[in-house]
Amino acid sequence: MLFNSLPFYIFFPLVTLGYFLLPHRFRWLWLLAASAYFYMAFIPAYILILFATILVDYISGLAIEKAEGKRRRGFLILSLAANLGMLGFFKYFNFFNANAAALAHWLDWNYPIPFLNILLPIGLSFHTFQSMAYTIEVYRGNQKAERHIGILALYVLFYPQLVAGPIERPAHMLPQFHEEHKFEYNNFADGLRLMAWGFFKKLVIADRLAQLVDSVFTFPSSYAGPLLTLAALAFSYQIYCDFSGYSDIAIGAARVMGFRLMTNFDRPYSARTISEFWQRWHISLSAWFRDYVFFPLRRALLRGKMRLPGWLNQALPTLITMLLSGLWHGANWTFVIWGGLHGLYLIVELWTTRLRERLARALHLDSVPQLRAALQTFSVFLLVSFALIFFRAPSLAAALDYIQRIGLGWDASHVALWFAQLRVTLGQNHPIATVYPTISGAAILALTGLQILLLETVQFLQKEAPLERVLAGQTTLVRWSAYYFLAVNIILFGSFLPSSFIYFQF
Amino acid sequence: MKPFLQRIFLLLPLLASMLFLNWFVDPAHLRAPDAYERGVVSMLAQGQAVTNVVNDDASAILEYHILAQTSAPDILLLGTSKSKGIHSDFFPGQTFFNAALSGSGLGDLLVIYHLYESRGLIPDAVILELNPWLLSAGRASQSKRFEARRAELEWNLLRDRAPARPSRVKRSRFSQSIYARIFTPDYFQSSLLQLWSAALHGAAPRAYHAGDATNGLTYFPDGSILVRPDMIANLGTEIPEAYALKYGWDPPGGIPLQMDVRQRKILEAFLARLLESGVKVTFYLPPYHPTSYELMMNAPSRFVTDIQSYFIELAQANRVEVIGSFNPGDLGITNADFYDPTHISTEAILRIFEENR
Repeated sequence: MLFNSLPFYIFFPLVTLGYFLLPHRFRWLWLLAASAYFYMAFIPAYILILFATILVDYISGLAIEKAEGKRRRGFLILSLAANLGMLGFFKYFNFFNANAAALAHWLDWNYPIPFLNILLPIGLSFHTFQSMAYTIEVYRGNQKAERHIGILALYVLFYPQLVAGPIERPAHMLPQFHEEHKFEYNNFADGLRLMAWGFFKKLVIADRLAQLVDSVFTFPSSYAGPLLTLAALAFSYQIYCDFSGYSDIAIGAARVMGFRLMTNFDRPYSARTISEFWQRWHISLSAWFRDYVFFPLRRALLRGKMRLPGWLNQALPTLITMLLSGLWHGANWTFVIWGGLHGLYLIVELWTTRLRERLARALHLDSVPQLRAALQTFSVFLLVSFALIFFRAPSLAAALDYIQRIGLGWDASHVALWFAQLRVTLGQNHPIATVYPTISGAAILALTGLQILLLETVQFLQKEAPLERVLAGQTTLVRWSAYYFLAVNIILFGSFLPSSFIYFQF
Repeated sequence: MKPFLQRIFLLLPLLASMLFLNWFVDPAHLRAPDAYERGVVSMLAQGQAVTNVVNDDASAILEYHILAQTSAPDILLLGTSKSKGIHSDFFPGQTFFNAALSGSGLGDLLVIYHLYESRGLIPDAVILELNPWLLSAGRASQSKRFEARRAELEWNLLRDRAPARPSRVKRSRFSQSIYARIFTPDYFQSSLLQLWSAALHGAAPRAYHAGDATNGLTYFPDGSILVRPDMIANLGTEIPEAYALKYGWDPPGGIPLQMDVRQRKILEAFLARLLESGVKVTFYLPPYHPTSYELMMNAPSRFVTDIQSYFIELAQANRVEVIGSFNPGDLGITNADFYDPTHISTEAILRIFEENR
């Protein structure tokens, strides 16, 4: 079930109403049933996979808590194997099989293993990581094993964050499922505000930009360098608004019922360094990799018998973590390269800290800190956008072809055609184009630019305090004018064509 | 609870205007399904052109328009929007009806022809517009109202026992009803846009009327349509060129990478049936935009030439006349003949018919 669909418009108020009407002791069951129904709207049979891993994790959690020494580790391995096995089978089997087959073909060997004709369970990577966080935390002694299997199931299945996160931690979520949440107006209003903001990001910005991005990335040879550049930059905003929009709706839907999910995005394109970008982008996943991959790896390298040079002790865990993060996103070399590029950015950033400081001093940039900050932010945005070409392209060859073509066709005599191409891509199915069929590509671009400006302005206002705090200080008239402006904006300019969220595929 | 209710009250104007406009503007005419289309057809049946037709169900208008006829035309045209501009002046001294439906697949052509045949009305001649996607496997009908009949007619035509037994079309009636859509923001968007558009053109939002084109489409009693002249005039050359560049890689309707055997059998059986009934058949192959066609020749879509060869061989084997070509170069068609990336002007179609006959 998509958040931007009629079934969800009915599902959400019904589930919320039912939640508050039921006595506390039945609420977990209500939410679990609703979440299972939500998940089963995609492929019903796959719910069995989820229940199977939940059962393994439940038993493992209890066993880890009781056991000592090697047995304890054994139960952890059992749980991780069940979760990663499921992920490996559904998500990575065909990828590794294809690579093995290609290698065998290259070596002229016979390769008999067939490909599997299976669909990836929706949100598999998200709930697998959330499940693994539970058993790892129990193993580390940071979390008591959950006795109530229904609550543990709800921890994995909780519908707002089931298919695309935020990837929660047991210490944050499990107690909330035991608590009784009373209806509170502030939670209700904050939740709805966040949801509306999420819908704005998704329907007004992400799905509009998708019209341009999809056309250009599918047939790059039909477009000149300026449009390829614009589409690459547009994809950065599309994916951000799509994913953070989803997160906002998820966090808002949970907040309405009194649950607090973790923040997943914090104005990532205002980052001045790549490391800062990763503290602001998909925070729940970055934190997961930091806690369960990066730190253990670095500890292992520092304490291990193998002595590595200091620079490698820093670089290797970073690179491995980012490569794995890339692979987490999808079973395709394009995602691995995307992760690898970010790994390289981080390493180069680390190694060149002093050099960059010296350069800034030499250019007297330290005397104009705002200009320096703007340059840094813009550079990070460009680097992120460049890496995202690999993320968006269907194959490695297509990504390289796209990058090569960016340098072609900058002849300004074709500017009328470029705007016409903007009109037929960005303006495709645009509500304004149905009223004004002859509207120009420049006008459509300006309209879209204004929406991004609105997004950036609101995000800038949230720099010091969250939106709800900013609005709370205003008069009723100002607040409600803002709500109405947002609602009318979504209704007039939103794209209501059926479209999934990009991160659902992961 | 009181402040909560007070604030909910502030939301009421938005909710109320959504419900009100969705109900009264009802852009997809859900309150009285087909009533709008029946109204249009009743004027067409009286010999009047009808303009300001907005958000209509073209398949419903076509069905009611055909059912309102008591005799078959001398010449019947079956095809897509590419030939919707062909009108009775093309065929002086003969009666003509344009039964083309936008985006039609082979199954749609069968259903539309069946609306005549089932009542014993057989035209003297049929112009069959053929497009590559007619040979795409498993292509559903463009129209929900035709889908179930399409499957059944195809099955009957082939006497195909096992695999193609028509399955029941699953339809969620509730989600397509006014009672569900009245609560949806996308329907609200359509309502607002329809009001906005109508205000711009000084026309009532749902009021079609007899006469020349103002807003929306104009339908003529011979089944042909006229696209809003202001849309055609102001598109310029860059917009069709930009679309053509897009469609070169992704032609509307698609190009199958292989001709589906079952679809070929259906087409051949349909042709045989027409010829057996004594109908004179003419194939019309509409040209692609020159820019699109050039790109298509460098893409998997170049298979379009094989499809054209098959259509021509089929015509030759059955002594059927062929007019037109997918290749605009064969017909002397240039970019200037296209008023949008897929449709050539009525004058250009007339030229093709006259020069290639």
